[in-house]
Amino acid sequence: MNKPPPGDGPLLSIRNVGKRFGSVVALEDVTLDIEPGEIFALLGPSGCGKSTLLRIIAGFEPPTSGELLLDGHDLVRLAPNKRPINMVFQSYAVFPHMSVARNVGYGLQMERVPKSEIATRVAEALEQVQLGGLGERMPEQLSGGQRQRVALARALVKRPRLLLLDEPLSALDAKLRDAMRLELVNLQGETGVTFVIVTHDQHEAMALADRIAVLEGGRLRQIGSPRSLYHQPVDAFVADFIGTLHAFDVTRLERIDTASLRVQAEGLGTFTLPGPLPPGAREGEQATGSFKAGIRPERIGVSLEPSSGFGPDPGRVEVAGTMGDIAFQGQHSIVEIRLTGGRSISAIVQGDEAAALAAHPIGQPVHAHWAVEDLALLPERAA
Amino acid sequence: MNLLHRRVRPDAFDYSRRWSLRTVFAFGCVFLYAPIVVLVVFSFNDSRRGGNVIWKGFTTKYYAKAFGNEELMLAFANSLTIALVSTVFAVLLGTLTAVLLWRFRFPFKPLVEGLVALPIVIPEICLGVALAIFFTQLGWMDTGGLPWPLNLSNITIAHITFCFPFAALVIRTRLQSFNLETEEAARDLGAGEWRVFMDVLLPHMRPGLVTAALLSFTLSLDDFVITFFTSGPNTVTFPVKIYSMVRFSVTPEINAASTVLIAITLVLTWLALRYQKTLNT
Repeated sequence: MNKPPPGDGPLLSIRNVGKRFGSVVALEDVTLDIEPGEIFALLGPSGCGKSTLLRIIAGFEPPTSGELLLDGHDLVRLAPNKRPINMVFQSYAVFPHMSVARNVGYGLQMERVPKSEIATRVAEALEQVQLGGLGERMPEQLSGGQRQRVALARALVKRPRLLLLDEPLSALDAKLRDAMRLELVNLQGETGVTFVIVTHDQHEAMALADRIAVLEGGRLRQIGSPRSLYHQPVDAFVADFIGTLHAFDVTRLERIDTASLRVQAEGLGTFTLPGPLPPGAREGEQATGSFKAGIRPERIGVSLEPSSGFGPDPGRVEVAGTMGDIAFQGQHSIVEIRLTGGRSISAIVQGDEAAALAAHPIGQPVHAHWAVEDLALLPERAA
Repeated sequence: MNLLHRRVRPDAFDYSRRWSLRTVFAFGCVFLYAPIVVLVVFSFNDSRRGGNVIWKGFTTKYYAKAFGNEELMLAFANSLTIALVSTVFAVLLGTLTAVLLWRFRFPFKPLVEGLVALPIVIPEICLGVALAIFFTQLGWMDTGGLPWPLNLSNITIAHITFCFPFAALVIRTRLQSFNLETEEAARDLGAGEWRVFMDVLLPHMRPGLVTAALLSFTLSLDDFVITFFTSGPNTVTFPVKIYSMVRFSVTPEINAASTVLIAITLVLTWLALRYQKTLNT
């Protein structure tokens, strides 16, 4: 779209793709474009269809409907072994009876690349994933992390147009995961290959991807940069999946004028929000759950005393609750506040403030508050 | 190893401290291995009768006699030929069957699975009689006049029939541990169906193939019942020959011949185990 040079369309176009397994709908009418050179993440809870979409791109499943275009050419009728697309499997799927070098060279051998060229390209690829000199090892002599590098090298050595990665960080322990995440980003930069990553982990997606597609129930919910998904989620599901959102049911909406709304929400009382009536909403009573007023934990302040002074502050929402657990995270702490209604919300509180709260016994009254404009008015599900 | 450790996990030989387990172990040894040991030991006994349990001194003359017995040697060669040929076919058919049952879904699959396993469960005598009738109807019973190895064709076919279900079973069990993603990985890297089979599936099956081959070979080599029913008057296998010799008299010659058979089986097993080991390292 905004990529130079002109005429250079998307690398992969997914057009109205649907997939059914018998009567089960795994994917419904998914349309999205993957641009050359980006890291694109397919994010969603398990069973959302993200893995099915990845398998359709790789060619292991035919779509029931819709089309796939790679550089404008139809991909659906190409067998997986004929597609210029390679995959790093969740189990890595390293061939156990072949040495590391033979594993990495296998794809080139299938292309009938001359032996001498295979050797140099394999050595290069192994160097690239920091496995230089381990070519003669057998897979069982490698750690999990090293096996993943073999799988990466094996796919990258073919110089694919598109590299698919199925949950690439899920099997690694926390330390290794951070290192590998950085390495994947570096590898993408070095090779320029377009990456498509499937993950259920929002942190992984946000840290790795240039753009994220959020899927749920086989449908595409929203596509955007991590930032735009975080700050402008289309609905409460996306907002809660990308980060945390404490959502309160909106019970009543009233237009004051074109630029402000009076909102009544369960547990929050009545307050005035700037902005017009959201699309799809009507004035008056709301069907339960159709709209939510949501707040992110880092926007919530916690104080021991209610805001004193000269009557209620129209720019501020305040709820009473009692102190819950505090989870110390180093720079900040996550404070649990049990609201009078029975539910709990969490607030992210910085150093000093957290220390003061930590001294406060559990069960004592506290007050959570935030600025009215930090509340997002979101539909439960975007149409 | 300290005391505490020992209490949590008993030693490998701890069972030997309980008299009940010792008794079971002793019975096992006596009834399983003692007869074999006795058979081997008395093949070297310098006595005219094999059933004689009195040690008369060491000799190897019965080995010479057994090897000099042309009929016995012919039966032995027949047995080895049949075992070899039926092993090849049983493993081939077993592999195809196992891959078919593991890989594909098709109508009446449970029925097919049951039919494949049938020769394992039905009594050998029934299979023997059935095959005998089958070959008689075909006029394929008296193959004595045919040139070698066609004179063994009906017995070989019979052996393939009862060996291949075992081979299929062993190979199928091995296939259960196959990581399907490695197959997809090979496809993804550019391999067609045939290369996937050769480069990924076959190497995974290899230990199963070796086990299946060994199993088929031993099953065929020492089969008596089915062979007895399907062999014509002029074709004789080693177990059938031994049986007919025992009916006259038990001589140490039979002991010697049997010992040779045991030795062959042991060597084959040892080779197979060694081969498996080289695969794993």
